[in-house]
Amino acid sequence: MISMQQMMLRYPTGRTALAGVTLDIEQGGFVYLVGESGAGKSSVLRTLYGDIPPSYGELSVQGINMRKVSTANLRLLRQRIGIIFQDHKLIFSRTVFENVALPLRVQGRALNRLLPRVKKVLEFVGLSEHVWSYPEALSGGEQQRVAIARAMSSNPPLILADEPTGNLDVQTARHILDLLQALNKHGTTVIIATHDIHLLQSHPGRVVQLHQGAIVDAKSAVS
Amino acid sequence: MKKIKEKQHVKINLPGGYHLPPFGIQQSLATTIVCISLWMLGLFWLGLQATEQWIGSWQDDVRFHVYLEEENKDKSQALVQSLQSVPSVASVRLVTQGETEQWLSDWLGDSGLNTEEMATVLPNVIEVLPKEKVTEFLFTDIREEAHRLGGTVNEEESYFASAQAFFEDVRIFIWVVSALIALAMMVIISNALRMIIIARADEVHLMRLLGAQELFIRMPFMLEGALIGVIAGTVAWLLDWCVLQLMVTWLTELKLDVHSLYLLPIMILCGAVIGFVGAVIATSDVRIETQSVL
Repeated sequence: MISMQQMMLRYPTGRTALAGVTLDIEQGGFVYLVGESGAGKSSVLRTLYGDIPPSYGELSVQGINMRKVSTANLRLLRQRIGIIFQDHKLIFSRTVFENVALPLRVQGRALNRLLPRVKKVLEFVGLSEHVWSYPEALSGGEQQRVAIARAMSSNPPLILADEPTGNLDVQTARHILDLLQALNKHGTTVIIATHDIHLLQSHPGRVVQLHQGAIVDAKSAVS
Repeated sequence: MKKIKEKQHVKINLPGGYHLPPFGIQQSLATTIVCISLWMLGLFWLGLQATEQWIGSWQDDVRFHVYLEEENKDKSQALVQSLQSVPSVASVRLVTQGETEQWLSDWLGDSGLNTEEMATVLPNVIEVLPKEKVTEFLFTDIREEAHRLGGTVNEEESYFASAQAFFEDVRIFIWVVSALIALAMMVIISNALRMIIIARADEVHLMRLLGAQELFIRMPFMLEGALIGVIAGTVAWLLDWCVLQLMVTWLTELKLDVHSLYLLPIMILCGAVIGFVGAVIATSDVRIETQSVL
């Protein structure tokens, strides 16, 4: 599903974020990208959803070469990827329903099918009673669950989560990972960038450790 | 009951399921400025309509008069024929001595003067009736024909012709002013929307990351631009109508029948087009730092 060969990423400022990363991730994998701040975790994710193209090397996501991807193909690829951000990136002037339905509207789904789908995913994350609430009325953990609901609403085969538990207490963070693991059990590939190493104990997965833009350890799985 | 309550929350009925951004201070300000501009333009055009009606009311009665002195009286028939050949001249006739006497009698009233004797010393008068609108060219042609056969024209009547030319200039001026104001309105709407886009850069960026098409991202802003124009056009027309109602007595005295209804669809359409184009300009290329927003 994802293949990186000697991938390098250099920002316009001259800083090298990734230096020769080689990594393959199969469909249905549950992968943690771990490492200190600035190790390159977020940069890997950003290259995966095409926010920044790799400077050198090869990167293929769902069969699409990300160095030569056209705008139209990138758009289609992004529609098949669910992204969860550390700061949620929820639209606070819109209701939970509108936030979660956004990927479906982007994909031009029939309007009469939005509400049932949104209700279903909100039920999955345990927020079915907040369909018409505004995000600011929710707690940090609930907002992150809305972000997860938004990422999974279009049933994408790949979910990328950038520090999804960064600002949450341990209990809530575990609940978020429970949800991501449940999605993984349904066949969705989940890649999580995190520095919360203690969460790996309770939620096993493949761990890829990054340090200064390079992979220093890529275990197949830990438990 | 629950289903009805839910449906009320789902505001997804705009074309394509688009959502308009919240209507805030920027949009209100742009709407007000565009409304005032359209109102002023509406007044210009209503004023032009009234002026044209007023000119038209007296232009229907415009007659030019060519005078032929005693020594050239024998050329009067030739001059009549010559004037008839001038383009845009409807008819030419020689004013009879009896008509001249009657006119003198009406003019002098009970002065006791001998109008019959006075009429004999006055020059022969040829009356020229123009076909349609009186132009300066027509008056010049009449003057040239008259001079050629020893006649003179009543130069004061040239003002009828120059008035028409003046109002043609005014019409062109109003068109130019309208175009300039339309351009200014586009810039105002464009600036207002650009501020909104910058304020909502995160949202636009998020839509991009979700794989939204350009039209999906830009359309709400374009619809909003058009909506600002439509609201401004409608309110501006209402203000114009109010002004017309205030002036109705004065217009009736002048026998002017000024219509404002025809302006309503024009102002709404112009407002919508101006707003839409302004939004297209606003969404054409906005970049914040290194991150592409639109």
